[in-house]
Amino acid sequence: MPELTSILWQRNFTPILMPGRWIRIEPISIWGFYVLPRSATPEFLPPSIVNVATTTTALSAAQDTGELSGRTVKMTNWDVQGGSLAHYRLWAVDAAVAFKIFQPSARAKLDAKNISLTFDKRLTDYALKNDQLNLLPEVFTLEDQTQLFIQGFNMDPDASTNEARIGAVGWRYPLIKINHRALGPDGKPLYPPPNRIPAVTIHIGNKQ
Amino acid sequence: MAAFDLYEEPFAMMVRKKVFVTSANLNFQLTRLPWFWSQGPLSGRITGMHIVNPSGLLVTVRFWDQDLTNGSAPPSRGSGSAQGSLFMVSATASGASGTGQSSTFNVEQMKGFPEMYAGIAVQASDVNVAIFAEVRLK
Repeated sequence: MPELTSILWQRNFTPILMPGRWIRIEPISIWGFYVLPRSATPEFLPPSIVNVATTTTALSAAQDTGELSGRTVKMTNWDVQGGSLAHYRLWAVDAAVAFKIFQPSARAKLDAKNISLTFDKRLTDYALKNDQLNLLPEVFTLEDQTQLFIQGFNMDPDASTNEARIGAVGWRYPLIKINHRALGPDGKPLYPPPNRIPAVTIHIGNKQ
Repeated sequence: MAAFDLYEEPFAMMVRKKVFVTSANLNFQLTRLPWFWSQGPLSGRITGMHIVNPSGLLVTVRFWDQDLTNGSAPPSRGSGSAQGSLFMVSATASGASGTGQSSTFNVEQMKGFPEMYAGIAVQASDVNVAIFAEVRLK
């Protein structure tokens, strides 16, 4: 997932930002530079489980004539308060359900050239059991500005399912936006390039 | 957990399936397998199961690789006959006729179960046999 985190990509799920560090959020034309102020700290977001199906809306059984459209939900539960960035790692709770991530709704993440890839419990169980948390799919949400959609597909050809749960655990970074083009009283850039080297660059996506 | 750990293969997952055999020696499908999945076919094998035979008779259960509902599935391998089956178990008879009997097969006993690609089909030698299986997909 090269678009996600450029550095500080570590084996364990550690915060990618510490107080005083800058982050560059792409596309820069929409988002820009932010800083985690020295007066704040990353806050842990405990596990949050969302069912892409419902007790009354099942995901149809997988069909050998082709993949069904599945069911898509907008993950507003994973939005965070104004001025915050959330950083999640995802895992599949239920077996035989595949998930696709969209952000915004028309833009699939995990996309290869010919197919936008799904992930399921095969990958995420392996990552969790083997302490390879870096293999868990990762998403970011900036406040409630970057709408995240998860699409669930039933992989079971035998029966429909009402359980298509996906979990997320993560970090919330309180941020302050920086006007990186601001000029000082002397007319020179307040943050000339050497001073605006971010700790990390992430790509979120367009606004909806 | 030790036995379960044997089947913590990389990039595999477990599903639970059941089939109720309503006719002796006829074909039933324990599970179809997602051989058509767009991101690559998944194969499966049983890693543990529980067989219940309410009649209490000794019952043999035979497994082979076939998707019984689709002719364009991967080619079937094996058949429901004793000679053609790819895996077979005998579930224990109960001591008293008419007394239901259940038999459990753990991961060690299922070691010879082959990887199946189209579906897991089953025949049982007695009627009203219930099979509850843990199937590993990968």
